[in-house]
Amino acid sequence: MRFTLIKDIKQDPFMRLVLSFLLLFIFIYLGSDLFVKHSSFGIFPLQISNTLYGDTEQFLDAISASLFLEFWHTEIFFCMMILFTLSTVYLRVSKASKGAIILVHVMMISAFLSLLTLFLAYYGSNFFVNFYVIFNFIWHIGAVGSSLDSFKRLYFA
Amino acid sequence: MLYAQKTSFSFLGTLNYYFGCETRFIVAKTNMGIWKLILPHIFAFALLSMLLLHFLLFTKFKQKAIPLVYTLFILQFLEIFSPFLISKGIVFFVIVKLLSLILYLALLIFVFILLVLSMRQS
Repeated sequence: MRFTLIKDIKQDPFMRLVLSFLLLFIFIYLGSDLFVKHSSFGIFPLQISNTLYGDTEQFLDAISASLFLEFWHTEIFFCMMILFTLSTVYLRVSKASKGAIILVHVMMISAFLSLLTLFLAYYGSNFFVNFYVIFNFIWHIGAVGSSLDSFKRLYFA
Repeated sequence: MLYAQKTSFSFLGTLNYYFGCETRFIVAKTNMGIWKLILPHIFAFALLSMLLLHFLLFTKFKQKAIPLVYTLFILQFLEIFSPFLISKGIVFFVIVKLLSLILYLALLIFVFILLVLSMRQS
């Protein structure tokens, strides 16, 4: 991304506008992602357990391995793309401040752990479902926070 | 091509795609179905627009390109979110969906041409 070469993005109305729209769409994506997951795969432990392992009392079938792997590989791609794009913008507009670097580290590590624990939950044990939920929320909240902070820094800092 | 294959790029084809069509065995799209469908597009379209537009920054077209940024992102928004209104029965948004998609693609090509022109001039 060549915009990283510009000296001061905030003083450039063109780049500020392009980044604002990008951040807006990332923000919408993050909200929609939680909403769609809530009504399909699940975002809370009980829902996710039902999806992964099924529930005989509710006559729910467990997700098949092929469907799970399809979901997992899409998650890996979108996590990676969202986080790399967002952190590039965030680190650039925050001038790589200490707080921004810590937040990006937290987001990256929690996203990686959420993907790992999801895999372990399906092929390992139910124990990892709770960890997946926690890490998934951490990276989503971090991403929402950093996109809002980037907006603030673009216009008000 | 994928869109054309599903809707044949026509008013009726798009309407059938969202409302369903018994003769063509197309199931009507629910709100959740539309959300699932548009979710990857929200990010993919934004990234594509941003990547292509930000190269204009290094060309002489930079100052004149601000209305282009607004137009491209607004068209993108209409293209992505109009299916919700189509599924609510507002048929007018079929036209909005088709026009926004065509204009969006045309503007992307236009930006691409501007970039190629500025590369050749420099």
